[in-house]
Amino acid sequence: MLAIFKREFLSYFRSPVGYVAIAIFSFLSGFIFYSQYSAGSVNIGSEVISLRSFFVIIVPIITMGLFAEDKKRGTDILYYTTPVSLFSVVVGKVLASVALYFVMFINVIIHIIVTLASGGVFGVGAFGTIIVFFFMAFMFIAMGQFASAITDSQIVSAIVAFILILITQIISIIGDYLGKAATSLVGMINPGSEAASSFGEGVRSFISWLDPFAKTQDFRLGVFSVSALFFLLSVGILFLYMTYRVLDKKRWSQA
Amino acid sequence: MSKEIIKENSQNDNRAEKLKLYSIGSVVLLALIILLVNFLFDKIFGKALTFDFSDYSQNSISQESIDYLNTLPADTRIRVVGLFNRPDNVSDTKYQYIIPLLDDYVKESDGKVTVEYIDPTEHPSIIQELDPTNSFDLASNTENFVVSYNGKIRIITPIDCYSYDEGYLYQYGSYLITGNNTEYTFTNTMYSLTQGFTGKAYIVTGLREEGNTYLKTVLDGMSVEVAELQSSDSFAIPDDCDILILNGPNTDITEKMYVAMTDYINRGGKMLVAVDYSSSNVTEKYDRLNMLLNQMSINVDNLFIYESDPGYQRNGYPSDSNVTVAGAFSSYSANYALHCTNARSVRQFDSVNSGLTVLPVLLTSETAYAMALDQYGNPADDGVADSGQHYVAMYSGNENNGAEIFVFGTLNFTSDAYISAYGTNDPNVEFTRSCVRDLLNSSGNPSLGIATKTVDNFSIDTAKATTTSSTLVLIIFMMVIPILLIAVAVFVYTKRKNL
Repeated sequence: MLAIFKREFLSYFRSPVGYVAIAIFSFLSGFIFYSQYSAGSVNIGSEVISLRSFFVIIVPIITMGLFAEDKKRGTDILYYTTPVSLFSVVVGKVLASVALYFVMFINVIIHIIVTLASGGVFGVGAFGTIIVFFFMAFMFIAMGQFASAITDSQIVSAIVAFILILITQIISIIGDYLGKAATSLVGMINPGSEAASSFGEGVRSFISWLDPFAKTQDFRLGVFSVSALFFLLSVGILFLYMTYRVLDKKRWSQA
Repeated sequence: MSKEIIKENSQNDNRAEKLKLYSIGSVVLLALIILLVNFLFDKIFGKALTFDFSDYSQNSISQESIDYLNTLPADTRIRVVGLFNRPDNVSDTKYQYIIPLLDDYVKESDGKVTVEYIDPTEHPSIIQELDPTNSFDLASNTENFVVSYNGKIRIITPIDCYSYDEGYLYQYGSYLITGNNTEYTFTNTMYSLTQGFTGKAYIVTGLREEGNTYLKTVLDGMSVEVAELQSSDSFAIPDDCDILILNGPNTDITEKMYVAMTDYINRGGKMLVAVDYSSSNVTEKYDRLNMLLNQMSINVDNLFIYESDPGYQRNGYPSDSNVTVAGAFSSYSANYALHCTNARSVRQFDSVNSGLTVLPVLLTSETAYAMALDQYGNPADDGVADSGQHYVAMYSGNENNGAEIFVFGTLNFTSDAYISAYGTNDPNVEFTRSCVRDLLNSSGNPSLGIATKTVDNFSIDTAKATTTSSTLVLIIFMMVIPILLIAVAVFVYTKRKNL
């Protein structure tokens, strides 16, 4: 696993992908930091939360080549023939991408240092958002890796990852619409009943319950919820398993 | 040979199909397990495994609230209803400090407090359910909270939960939050609903006063029912008035008021009067008010308190100073010195009526001046009126009929501007509470002493964060670093291309 991790991590810096991803992250985080700094009030927690919105751009860039590139070149056969477990391959690649996020995050650490040097504060809420940031990074990278495993085109992989992450980011809005649709549907069957709105509310609540952003919003306020982190971790593991199944199926189908 | 190939291909197809089914089945099964485990984990351990590490424990109720909730009978049901759908994200909204704290009430109350979020536009029946007589017009309170207990309800608006800078609001028209009173507001609202009212205060309005919002909040928190008494030709003081309050009138009371208040005092009424010496009333002598106060042997002079003792001055301002609490009232405050601004001299009237006990309450230094000012707030031509120790507040009680009065020559104990800036737990406000308790003759502590919490402040040092440093931040973080990285990316790309 370590060998896979090292190979993948270093590959980001042997190609332009890693530098471009870090450059985009630097620019975006720099813009957010500058906006706050010039206004005389810097909340690192807000900056990190804003940066979470850009997972939808950065994660597809860094995950699109994880498997799709190997498939395109035909080098994915090495996964099936070398004495390395597929599980190690999957986890090693995800950890390499997460490590790249750590490298990107050096920007924010510099911002924290500048903030403290300027008499600002780095509170427990900001620390909470950073924890959530990396758990979310893991979850979204696992999604991106899955997207990369199901195709041999990096573009298709990036698009699928983009859609998956976008859906996750707007799941509460989707929940609202589906809740209203469910209310209307039940209302048509049983007009004038409060059961319709209750059913719609139930649908909305259930879908909103899946929203990782809503689950983790209180970290920013200094309220740390273990169950929210557990949720992010378990969804990430689900996608790792899905990636593993895709590869495993291919291994034995090709025998 | 071809049959064998066909057979092998067929076996491969079957195996691939089985693997596909196995993959899909196992993924679906794992997804369901993860969903179920998360749901159960959230429901069973979600609250227990949620920890408030915030500065000042903004999102947790304090031991005072927990102790109060523990004193309630097990079958107590206090219902808090937010008249809106619960927002998915409360960060940077007015509910930021409210909703997480309400969650903690539910967690700590052992079922005695429930919190719901019901939008009346989606569930109109909630209005009838909470307020059958429609006394509170809940339909127009759709951003607020209702606290309901045994059919009694109280409305709490989000801004009730915060202290804010009144001056900033006046100047810019928006709220600059200075403190978090969410717990104070909710716990004392629950407290007053479950305990019942300890008295009723009427605040006289219509005398160009600044406002009484915070004083009402303080009285609410003491379980004192508050109503306003508007200045009018038919001004009368209701029989259920336990305390009559004049909070910062900038004009004198009317003749009708004078008659009604005189009658009220003669019937043994209690009053709390607060005036100051500001640009709004610099020429006001309060002749009728003084005629009323003179009956209790107190007079409010048209003289400005100028504190000359640097040890009493706050930040070097003679108009903003400390005042000491007189010995007879030392139990009213844990602080020896309280804060006084723009004070008017309060003194004992020349003749003391029999049966009256007149006492100083708040005192200046021995070297303060009581000065006459002109209409522009400058020392009048006749200059210094008096030098020595002066009173900023006095008390008078009539042992014959039970009438009592506290007169303050500063608004630092009752005004919106002061309480909003210093919070409801400021020593001055606590002193006001003690005076009200004294007037109500109530024993014990009718309100729960819950501290105002400091809100997060992310300001940076403006001396360090100059325009130059901002420009440097812009150049380094948004230009130099990204451009360097792109340059390296181009370099690497070129190298690889040439391999």
